[in-house]
Amino acid sequence: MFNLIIKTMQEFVDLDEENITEETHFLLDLNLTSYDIVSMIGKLESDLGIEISDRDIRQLDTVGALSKYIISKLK
Amino acid sequence: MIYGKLIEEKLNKSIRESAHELLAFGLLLEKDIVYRDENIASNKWGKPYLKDYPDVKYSISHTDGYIACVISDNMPVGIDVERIRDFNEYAARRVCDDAERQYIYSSHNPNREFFKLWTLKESYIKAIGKGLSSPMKKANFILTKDERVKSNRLGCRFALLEDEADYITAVCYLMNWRIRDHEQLYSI
Repeated sequence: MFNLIIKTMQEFVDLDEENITEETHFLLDLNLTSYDIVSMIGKLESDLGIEISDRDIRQLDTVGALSKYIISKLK
Repeated sequence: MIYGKLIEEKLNKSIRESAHELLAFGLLLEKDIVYRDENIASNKWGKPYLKDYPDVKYSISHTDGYIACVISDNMPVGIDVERIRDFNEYAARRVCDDAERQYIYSSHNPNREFFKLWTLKESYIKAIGKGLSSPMKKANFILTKDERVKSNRLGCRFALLEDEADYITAVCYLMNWRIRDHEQLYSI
């Protein structure tokens, strides 16, 4: 899931995947904008057939947090 | 007052720093506040405010090549600026309802119309101070042919600015609302 998230992010922004870890913060470390995040979430929802609620997005601020959340949704 | 400025491509500082400098300029001009000397706090959703001037409301935004900010007396406010570019369907599906998507796709310039709606929605969630945890899809807009903005958000006033050809700026003022303890919105 970690790699899928990185691959999805790369569809919308230029990223050096070498520096990305589970702790990487979308806003503080990668400087993603709201538009980048919404685009990435929308693509993951579409590809994986899941729904990510607006209420939960605020907590999903790192690559690791989003990865764990999506895995729990797929179970 | 609303401030906006084009930014040259090669700067020796980040665009985020430039946006804060624009805010500092506005605060000094309008309020005699020296921004760099102020304590900045944040509400639980991350929206910043001046600890010693809780009635001064402000919002900043930046995009590739443009920075903007707005300062308001007491009235909660949000601003968003975007460079017009190709939008993606995933974002449109996530934040726009069926009527808005139909409006976008039937327009002569879908990219421009999408980013008008996006910035309006983003300005609203920034004004209420809850960021992306607030559903953007529930703030809906109709853009009329005479360039008025109609919204289902009561007590809000929206401004859509297109001073620069490649950029859209939207501002939302919460007219009849105030914020208690920097977090709780209440009607006046």
